[in-house]
Amino acid sequence: MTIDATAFAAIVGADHVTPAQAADAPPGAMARWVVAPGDVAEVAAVVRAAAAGGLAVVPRGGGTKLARGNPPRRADVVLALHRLDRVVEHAHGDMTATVEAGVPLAALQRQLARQRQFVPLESHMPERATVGGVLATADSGALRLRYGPPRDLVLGVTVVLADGTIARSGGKVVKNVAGYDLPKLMTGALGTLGVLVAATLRLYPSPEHEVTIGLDPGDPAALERMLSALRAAPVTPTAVQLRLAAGQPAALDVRVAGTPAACDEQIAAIATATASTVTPRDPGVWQARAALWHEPALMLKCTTRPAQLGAALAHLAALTPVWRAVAYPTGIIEVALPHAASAIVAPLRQALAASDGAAVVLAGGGDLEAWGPAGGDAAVMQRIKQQFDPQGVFNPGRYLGGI
Amino acid sequence: MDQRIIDAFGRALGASCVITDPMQLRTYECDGLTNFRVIPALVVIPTCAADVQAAVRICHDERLPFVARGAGTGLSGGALPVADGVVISLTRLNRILEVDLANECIVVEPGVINAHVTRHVSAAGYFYAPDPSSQSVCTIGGNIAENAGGAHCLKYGFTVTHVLALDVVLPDGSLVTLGGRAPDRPGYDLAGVFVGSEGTLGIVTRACLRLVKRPASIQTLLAAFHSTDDAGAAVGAIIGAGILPAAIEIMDRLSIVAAEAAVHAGYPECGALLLVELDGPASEVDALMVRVNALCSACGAWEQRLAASDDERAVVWRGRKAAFAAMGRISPNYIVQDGVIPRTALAAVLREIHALGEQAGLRVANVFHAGDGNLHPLVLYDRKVPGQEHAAEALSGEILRICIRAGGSITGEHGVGMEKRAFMAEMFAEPDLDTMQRVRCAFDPLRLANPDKVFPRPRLCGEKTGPYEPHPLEVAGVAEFF
Ligand SMILES: Cc1cc2nc3c(=O)[nH]c(=O)nc-3n(C[C@H](O)[C@H](O)[C@H](O)COP(=O)(O)OP(=O)(O)OC[C@H]3O[C@@H](n4cnc5c(N)ncnc54)[C@H](O)[C@@H]3O)c2cc1C
Repeated sequence: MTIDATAFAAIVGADHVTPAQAADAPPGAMARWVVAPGDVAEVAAVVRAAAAGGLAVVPRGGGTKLARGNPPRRADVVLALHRLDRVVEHAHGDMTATVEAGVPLAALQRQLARQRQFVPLESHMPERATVGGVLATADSGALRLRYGPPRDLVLGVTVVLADGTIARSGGKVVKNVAGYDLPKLMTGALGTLGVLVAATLRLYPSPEHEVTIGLDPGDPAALERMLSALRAAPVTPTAVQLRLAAGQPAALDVRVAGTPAACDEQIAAIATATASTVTPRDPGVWQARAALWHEPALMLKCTTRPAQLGAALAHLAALTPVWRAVAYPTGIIEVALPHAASAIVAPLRQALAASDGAAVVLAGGGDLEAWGPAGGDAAVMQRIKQQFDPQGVFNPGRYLGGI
Repeated sequence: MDQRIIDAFGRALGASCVITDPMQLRTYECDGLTNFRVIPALVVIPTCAADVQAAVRICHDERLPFVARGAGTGLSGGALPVADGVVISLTRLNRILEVDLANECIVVEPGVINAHVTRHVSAAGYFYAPDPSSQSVCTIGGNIAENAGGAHCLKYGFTVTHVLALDVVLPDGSLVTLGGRAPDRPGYDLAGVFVGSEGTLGIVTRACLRLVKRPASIQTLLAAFHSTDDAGAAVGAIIGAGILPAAIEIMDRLSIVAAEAAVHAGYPECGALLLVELDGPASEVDALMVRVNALCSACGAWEQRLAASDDERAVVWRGRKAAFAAMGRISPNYIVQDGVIPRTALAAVLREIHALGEQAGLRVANVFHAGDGNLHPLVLYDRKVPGQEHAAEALSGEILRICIRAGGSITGEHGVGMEKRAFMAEMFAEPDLDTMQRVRCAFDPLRLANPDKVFPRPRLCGEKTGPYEPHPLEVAGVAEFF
C-alpha cells in the first residue's frame, strides 16, 4: 500500500501534516513528513497507517535529543508528540501525576510546584524537552543520586506499538507488581519498541530549604579522597556534581535540603568528613550540565563504577587536551569535546570497559557509532525488538546493536 | 519421569543433587500459599551456577517445564511445581561472593537469605534496604523474582531499585549478565524487566545488590488512635506535610490483638496503631518527629510513644513483622491478601472492606504499608464451618476488585503467581497482557520457565494479537490511561 500525506491528513487533519525539513529528523536522516496527532487514538492510527505502508516512524518530543543514537536507516514520518501535552491528573495527595508524553518538563514542574511537589527528572532545555523524550532517553542529572534514575520514577506507561496496539502497563500507584514491569523496558528504549504516549510519575515534596555549597579539591588525588569521604559520611545530599575542564582545578558542588538546622548540621558533617573548607555557592552552578550544550560539540556520556570516577576522568584528560565535563558520583560523566576529538572515543571505550562503563555519543558524533559494543545480552534485546516491532517501524537502526 | 532423563540430571549434577523419593518430593509440593499443592516429577538442588545451567539445558533439550524455588515462602503460589516438571531449588547457592563498599554493592548467590546480606555489612555501617517481613528466611532469588517489598521500601524503594546486575540462566540454558555495576549500560533495561517476573524469564544465579549507608539517626513512634480512619488521616497529614518517613505502617484492632498475643510487643490497646519511623541526620529527625507528633495529635492520637533504644525499636517491629503468622492466635484459618490502592482512598476502601466482611459474616484484620497504600487484609475463617472457606475466598477476591476499582493493583509485593492469574484480566485489558507476553516470548519462546504462572491465558509465541479494545474501566470512565 502506498501511503502519502493525504492519508495522514485524513487522520490528524491537514494542518498537522507538514513536509519535513532537515532539522526535523535525526542528523543523517531525511524524513518526508512531520505528522502531529492530537490524541492517543490518532497516534495509533498514524502508526498503523505508516506500518501498513512500510514506512519508518521517528517519534519526537521537543526535539532536544534527536541526535541520540545512530542515524536511523529510514525516517519517513516524524511523529511529533507536542500536541499530547495534557497533565491528565495531578493526584497530589498520592504524590503521582499522569501526563501525556508531549508535556514539556518545565511546564509540568510549574504545575506540580503549585502543590509544592516536583518530579526529579532533569534535562537540558527543559522548556522544550518533553516528559516522553526524557523517559525514552533515560536522561538524568545531579538529582539521580538522591532520587534514582528516571526508570524508578515511572509507575505506569501507555505505549502505542508498531501494529497500532495501545497497551498499558504498570499502574497509577507507587507499589505494584502485577505482571512484567514494562515501564522499565520502555524507559531508555529510545522509542524503538513503541511510542510512549502517557506516563504516571512518582512525585516528591519540594524541599522547604536548600543550600548549595562548594568544595575545592585542588588536585585529582584530593578529589578522589573527597568523593570517597563524602560517600562514607553520615550525610544525604540531594545533589552532587563536579565541574571540570581541561587544565583547570575541579569544582565540587553539593546541595543539601531539609530544615535549616539539618542543613547546617549536614554542611558541618561534610566539612569534617572531607577535612576541607566549604563555601556557599550560587544555585546557578546546577545549570552547568545544561551549559555544556550551549555550543555545538561532540557530546559524550561516559559511565563507570562510582568508585572509579577519578580514574575515568584521568583517562579522559590523558586522551585529549581540550574538554569540559560535568560528572556525578553515581558514575556518570557528561563530556563536551571539540568535534575533532572523535578519535579518542575508541580508546576511551576500551578504558571504561574495565569498570563496566561505556562511552555513548549523545550528539555531534558524525560517523561515530553511537553506543559502542553490545554485551552478552544483545541477542535477548534483538528478540525483544523482534517481538515488539518485527517490521522495524520505529527508529530502525538508531539503537544499540543495529536495533 | 523417564529414567533416562533422571540419569541425565544425575550425571550432570551428581546423584546427591537429584531427588526422586516421593516422600522427599512432597516437601516441595507447595510454597507459603498452601491451598495449591502439586508434587513435582523431580527436584534438583544444584550447588553452583554451572549446574543450574546444566539442569536448565536438560530441561530445554527434553522440553521439560521447570520451576525455580528459593525458600518457598512466596504467598501467591509462584513456586508451585508443575506435575510433570522439575523444581530447581537454589538454596545451596548461598554464598556471599564479594563486598564492594567503595561502590556500595555486594555480590551474592540467589539462595542467600535476605537478612544475611544486612548482617554481613552492618559492621561497616551499611544495610540492604528491602526488608520483607519474611526476611529471616526468604532468599534474594525469591525477592528478585517477586520484586519483594517491605516496610522501609516507602523511602528506599523496592527490590528492583536495589538490583544493579544479574546473572541469569535463560530458559534455553544460556547464561547472560543483565545490567552492570556502572549505571545505564547501553541497551534495554533487561535487569529492570527481569525483577518481578516471578521465575517466568529464567533463573538468577548471581546478583549484584546496592547497599545503603545506615542513617545517622533512627526514631520509631507508636501512636494510638481510636480508628483506622483517624490513623489514615494522620498518614495523609504527615505525607501531605512533605515528610517522607522511612516507614509508616498501620495495624487495626484485630491485628494488634493478634500480634500482642503472639509476641507481646507491648502495643497500647486501641482501635488502630500507627507506626512511624524517621531516619536521617539527627537534628532533622528530631525536628520532624516534633511535627509528626503534632500532626498525630491533631488527627486524634491519644497516646504516642517513642521507642527509645535499638532494643525497643526491635520489639515494636517484631510485632508488626509477626502480624500474619499471629492471626493463628485469633482464628483457625486465614487468607493473607495483598492489594494496593491510592493512599488517599484508604478510608473509603477500608469502610468498603469492613461492610463486605459484615455481609459475609467474616472478620477481616488489616495490616498495611500505609505510606504506599499497600493493604494486607487478612480474612479470618474456620475451615470446619461448612461454607466458610468458600465465603472467605469470595470475600478475598472482592477485596481485590475494590482495589482495582479504586485505581490500584491486585498485588503490591506478593506477586500474581498461581493465585491471582484470573485477576490479571480484570486489572489489564487483553492488549496489555498480550504486550507482556511479547517479553515472555523473547526470553522463553517454549514457555518452559514456570509456565502456568502470572498470566490468565498465556498466548503462544507467534500467535497473532488482536487490535486494541478499550479497557472495561475506560468505558466506565474510571480510568483514562496510565
Ligand atoms: C510470614 C510472611 C511474611 C511475608 N512478608 C512479605 C513482605 O513483607 N514483603 C514481601 O514482598 N513479601 C513477603 N512475603 C512473601 C515472600 O516471603 C516473598 O515473596 C519472598 O520474596 C519469596 O522468597 P522465597 O525465597 O521464599 O521464594 P519462593 O517462594 O521459593 O519463590 C518465589 C518465586 O520466585 C521464583 N524464584 C525463586 N528463586 C529464583 C531464582 N533464583 N531465579 C528466578 N526465580 C526464582 C520462584 O519460581 C517463585 O515464582 C511474606 C511471606 C511470609 C510467609
